Amino acid sequence: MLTFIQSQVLFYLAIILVLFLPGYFLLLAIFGKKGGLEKIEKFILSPALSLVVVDFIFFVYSRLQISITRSSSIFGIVLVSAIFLIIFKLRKFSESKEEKIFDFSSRPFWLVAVLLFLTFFIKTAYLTQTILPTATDMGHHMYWAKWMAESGQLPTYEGMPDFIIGEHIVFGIVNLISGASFFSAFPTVILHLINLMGILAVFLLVLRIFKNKNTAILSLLFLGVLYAVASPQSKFVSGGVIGNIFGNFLMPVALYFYFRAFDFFQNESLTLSLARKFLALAVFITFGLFYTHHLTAFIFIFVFIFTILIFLAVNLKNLKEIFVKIRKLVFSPPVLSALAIGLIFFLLVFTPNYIKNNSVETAVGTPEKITRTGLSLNNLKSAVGEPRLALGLFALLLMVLNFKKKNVGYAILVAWFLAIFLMATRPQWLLLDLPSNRIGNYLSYPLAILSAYSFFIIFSQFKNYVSGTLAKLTFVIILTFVLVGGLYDSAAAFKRKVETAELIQTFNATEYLAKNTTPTDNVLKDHNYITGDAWMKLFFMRGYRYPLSRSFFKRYEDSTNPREQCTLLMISSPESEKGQKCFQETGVNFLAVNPAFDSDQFKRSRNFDLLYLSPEVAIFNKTN
Amino acid sequence: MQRKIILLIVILLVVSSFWLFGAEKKYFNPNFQSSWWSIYFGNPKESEISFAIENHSNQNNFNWEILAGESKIESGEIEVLLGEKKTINLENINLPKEKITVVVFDGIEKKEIYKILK
Repeated sequence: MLTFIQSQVLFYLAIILVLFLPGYFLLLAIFGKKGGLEKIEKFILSPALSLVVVDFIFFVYSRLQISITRSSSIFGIVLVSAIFLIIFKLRKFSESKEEKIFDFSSRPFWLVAVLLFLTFFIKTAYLTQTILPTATDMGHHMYWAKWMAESGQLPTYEGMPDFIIGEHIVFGIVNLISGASFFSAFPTVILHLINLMGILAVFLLVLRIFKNKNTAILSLLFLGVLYAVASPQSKFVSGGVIGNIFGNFLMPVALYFYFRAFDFFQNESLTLSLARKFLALAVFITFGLFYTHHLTAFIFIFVFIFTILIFLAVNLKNLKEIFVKIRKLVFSPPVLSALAIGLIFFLLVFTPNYIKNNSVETAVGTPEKITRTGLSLNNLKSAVGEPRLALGLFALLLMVLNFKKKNVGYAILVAWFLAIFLMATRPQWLLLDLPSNRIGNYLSYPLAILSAYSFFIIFSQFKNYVSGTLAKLTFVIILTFVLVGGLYDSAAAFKRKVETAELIQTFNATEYLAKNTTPTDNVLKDHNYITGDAWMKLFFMRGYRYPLSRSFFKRYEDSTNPREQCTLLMISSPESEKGQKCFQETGVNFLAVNPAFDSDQFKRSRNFDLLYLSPEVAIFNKTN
Repeated sequence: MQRKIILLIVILLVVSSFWLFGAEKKYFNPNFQSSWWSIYFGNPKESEISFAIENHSNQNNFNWEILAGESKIESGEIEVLLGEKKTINLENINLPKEKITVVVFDGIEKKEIYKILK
């Protein structure tokens, strides 16, 4: 028990150091204690900024070829945080004259408290059942984080463009500082924290845009409590979809800073100096987003462009005034410095893999695969939930009718929804060649906000037009529709059985293989019937593609992208001519399979020894 | 009031992650709700057949046999308690050049591993 508590304390200290202090001290250095941001804003925005600051620290390490160790990591983060703190101490700050909008009276506070509790409770209950390291994506990502922690360098991903450095640094550093095992709950816990902070960042954004506490509180209901488990929420956390989870935190934070920067079109108490600081931070976070997840960054570009177009379109009469203001805002030392720092890092210090490998080009073009030609309305309903889609679309109509031209927030929200909606449903219009369902998942964030907005407007206005009883009855009916849909979805996602025994057998068998083989041996394992097989590579650490894997069967039948067949044949037909040739070409001499599905073909042969047997894993050795 | 919300978020974060770490610790115990055992050769690449039994079930008594082809050449009994791993050392046994099978029986279930000696 003492060891457990000690490891917990170390983990929380590592989290504070990596995911809070750098960002918090950066905000202090920029705004001081009482300028521009309220306490809760600093608290929620600090982890996003910390993620980016920490990334940049290790880009410098990589450039200067400084080894990434526990002490060098602590030193780098403490040094940068201390510099921010010294700047804060040396500078003089003026107090913001803006109205405080985050002070809640007793009733709204308790509503927030209940919604936060429910959000945490539902997510934690779901994650408890999925906490074991079985998820394939998480296994792949943790390989690189472990590689980084063991080699002391940032990974180069063996040239693969699908991995992005910002997805792994935080895990590698937390492992180094706290000593927490990659096979423990820590990767899921970090993703869980980031997921929750993303929801809270939306809460901040909504309150800032609408300046209405009820709408902000309702956004907690629609994004936090309802569909708390569905993708891209806790299912993505347990599945290790790191890029999306990080992206869905960084994107709202970036939009928040852009909103604050351009809020001076309507908010006269916001000084130009403060707006410039917000824009500088927005640029900084945007670079962080590009270092973290290419799909989210790609979507962000569209949202950004749509925002500009919508804002300019509704303000056609004031374009001259707007451009004068924008020029004053952009061409300023803080903004240009942030832009310069970002570009220097991007081009000279550490360029993301997907840029080097021109993978952006693969995302653009005419979609051909059925999974990329766009989602139907039914697909969207199942992706984001019927109540949210209905209320969100209604909110769009309300916003158009009640559009506040000078409020950039309205343009941001409409653009956030519209850009993703078109990308997901009409990719051919935008010449996109990306999986439509992956894009569709991003809709849940803007739709949750829009749902909150329409829900509030409906019931704040409705009672003025109909009788009290009818208003209450309608409220109850719609609330029931929303709650049943949102909570049923979470309830249905709960697993009935935790795969403890299966996973432990996989890990035990892999330990046996790792101990009894050398890098000259080649291992092939099965992805179809072995639980948590993606994590096997973390035992070997002999390369990302070690051991080889028999993939899902359908992948071998992809007519648009013919796949190699050896990994299939060496398990399915080891004695066939093609199978034998594959063994010669690949050098595979150990095979890990599930004995219930793949044993007889090896037992019939005199070329294989059966070395290891448990109910879930059998290990065969090819001897001839 | 902002401080109260921040405090609430911190408490919920800590309790939630503490709970998840606790669940992981519970589930990662190989003996938690498990009823399986495994057998494996100690030296997979050598021509000898010492083997181990790793027990995560409530069956503690195991009978084992060594077969050369169809003929029994060695047998024995061993007690392996829940969570234990025991090796049956057979380094000095003379083995013919044929299929050598290790058969282990826990009273309910039988498992076999083998090497084909050439």
